[in-house]
Amino acid sequence: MCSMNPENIDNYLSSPPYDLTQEEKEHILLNFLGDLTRKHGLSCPEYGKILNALNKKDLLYEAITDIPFIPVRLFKKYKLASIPGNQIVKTLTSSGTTSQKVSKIYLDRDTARYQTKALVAIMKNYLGDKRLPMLIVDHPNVIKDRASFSARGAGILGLMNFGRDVTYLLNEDMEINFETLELFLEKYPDEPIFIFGFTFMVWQYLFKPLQQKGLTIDIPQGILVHSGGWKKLQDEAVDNNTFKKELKTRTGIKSIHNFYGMVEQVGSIYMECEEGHLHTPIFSDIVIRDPYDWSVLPNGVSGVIQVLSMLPHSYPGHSLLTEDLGTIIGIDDCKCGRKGKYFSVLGRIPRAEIRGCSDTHASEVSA
Amino acid sequence: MSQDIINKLTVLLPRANNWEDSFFSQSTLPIADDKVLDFIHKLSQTILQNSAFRQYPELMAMGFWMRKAHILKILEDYLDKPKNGVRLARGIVFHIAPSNVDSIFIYSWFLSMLVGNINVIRLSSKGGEQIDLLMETLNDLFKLPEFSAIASRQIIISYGHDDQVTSYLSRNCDVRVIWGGDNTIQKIRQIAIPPTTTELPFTDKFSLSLIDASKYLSLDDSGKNKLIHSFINDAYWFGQMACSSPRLIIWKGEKEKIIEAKESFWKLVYNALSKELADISTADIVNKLVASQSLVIESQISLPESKNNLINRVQLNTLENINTDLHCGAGLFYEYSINELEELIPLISRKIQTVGYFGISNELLEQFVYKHMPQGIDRFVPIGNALDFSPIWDGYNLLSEFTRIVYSNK
Repeated sequence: MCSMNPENIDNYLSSPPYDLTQEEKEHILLNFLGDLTRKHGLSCPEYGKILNALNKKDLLYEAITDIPFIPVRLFKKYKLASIPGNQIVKTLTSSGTTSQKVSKIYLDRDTARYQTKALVAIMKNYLGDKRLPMLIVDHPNVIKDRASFSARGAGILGLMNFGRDVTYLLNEDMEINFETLELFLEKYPDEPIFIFGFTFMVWQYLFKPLQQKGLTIDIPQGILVHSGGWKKLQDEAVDNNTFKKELKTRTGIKSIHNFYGMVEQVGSIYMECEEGHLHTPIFSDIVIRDPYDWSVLPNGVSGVIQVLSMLPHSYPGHSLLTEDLGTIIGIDDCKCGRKGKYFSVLGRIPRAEIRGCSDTHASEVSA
Repeated sequence: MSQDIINKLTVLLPRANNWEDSFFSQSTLPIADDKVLDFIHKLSQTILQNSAFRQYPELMAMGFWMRKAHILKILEDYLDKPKNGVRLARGIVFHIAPSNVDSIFIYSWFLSMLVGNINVIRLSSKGGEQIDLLMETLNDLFKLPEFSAIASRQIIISYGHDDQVTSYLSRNCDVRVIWGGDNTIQKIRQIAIPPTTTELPFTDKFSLSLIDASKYLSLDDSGKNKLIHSFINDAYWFGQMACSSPRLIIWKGEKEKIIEAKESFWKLVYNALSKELADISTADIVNKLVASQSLVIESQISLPESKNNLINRVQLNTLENINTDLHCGAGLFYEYSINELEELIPLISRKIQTVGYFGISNELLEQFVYKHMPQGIDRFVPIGNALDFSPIWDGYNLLSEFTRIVYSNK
């Protein structure tokens, strides 16, 4: 159980996130994930029952692909926690339309710290060590109610730590506050600016109004990080390349990074590199599975994405089957220089004809 | 009918017709009228001879069911001539079809047509390829002059959930037939029908297969394969979501025999089942994973490892309060072992519909219900016949329900 020592974990979370080869990383991650599986099996009764039913409670895991997974939707149906109620310091909920149930994720002090540390390590790799002046493509009220962290609010709060002079680009009517923007740009004419927003918000409330009014703004030093899923944009036939190209034309932003993440695994996110690939950091990994028999698919073949993360210590969310499809593009050899697996997300599993099942609604991926 | 209501509905059949109030004031037709028999016969021939139907085994089965000889046999077996009186159609039957792909409502519509009723069928907006093809064919037949009296007495409409329209049609019917889940039926029941109108609710039900382990093991290879084929048909048509689709397999016999029988049985099902045959989507498979792990959390079960996700098995260790709502079809099988039929009693609520059996005589099954008088079980059929429609459905003789007897004492 020595790998579970918080000091060990904290040390590992401070390491450069993309420097280990896949083999080196899997070796370390396997220890963490195996320990987490056993720990949650003992501490979360529901998860323990699942391990028992699968006959996998006391197994030694020889590869990260041996770690059992649970479907991410279970967090919408059950309260899954591995800590007593008095240790919960924060509860995260997923975004979700009114008709859908939301995921509830219970964090203790350690897990919350691990999430922050992992995110810091990853973001620094893209933003540098210094805190940058920050623009948020949202309105200030989105984080007003700190008691209930919506996914959008939580995502913004999490990323605010990487900026200074945090400024909201939209006013409460969701319109671009041009005055604020102008002042902000006058203040920071030359240095890099960190811009964060949810993919849909950036498109709907930054790009579209500019396009409709035939306006352009000029933030060539901007680094845009965005997430939240492509579902709404897919309906408008906007893919990542279109998004980047169009946005650059209107705003001058050249450095645009999507990331793949979900409320069930906050912190160990998958950032898009300069080559347009999503990268696994040393804290988390993905496995592509064949829906036919859950076997592991080779690189280049698309299947259901399983996400593994060493961060969830307060809830059994370290190995999850998502409802997204993806493909591993390569391992250790991305032109950007980052090691580990890199991949692309193809979107949600298409909904089959609903044949009368009462619970076929899927979760929204959210940061 | 007010223009308001007319605007809300689409007439799917007969095409090009609009709703006219005179629809409700037509007379009914005689029971088993020659013209109706001819019409059903003609439809049967068209379905069986038209290659477009071949790809839909459900519709082919329907075509067989509609053959003249079979229809005449149904009339003979299920519709007795009253000793004292005359049998007549009830009048106007309002059918509310289920929203899933199940085409079973067509059978009840045709039985109602056969005994002379005027029929209004409400389809949910999306019909699907099979229904579309059937509508096309029906429309061609309805255009023929010899069938005009039948065509004028049938109307298929579609409208969104709208209480005003449902209320209007309910006020004007003599029988209301509702196919749907418990919620749908409860909602529609809030909408009044006239005091003299009767109602046939066909709600969601749960069905099982019952297999005697020793009898199964004593089959030769071809016997086993035949049974497996029959079972696959029962289980995988309609994505295992029809009320009669078996979702629970009960094994009867000694423990050792059951272990041996299960191993052989599932191995053969694996071998016989292909992706094409199973027709399961990735979304279905994820739903099955959610369902089976939810069951683990909610009750005491175990999950044997499956070779692939066309078949997923869940071992129950009690039949009491089994969760049927979590079941999403697509090849998910609950399993349980018994020594004696009496052990089934805790399971048999009113929700239990079909028991597909193998290796147990139906005399024995009849004795079982006679003796224990359970709340549920609507039918016993050999494995392979679970999805066959019969004029006795969910405990009702439909031909009786769709008619009335004018009593006459000599």
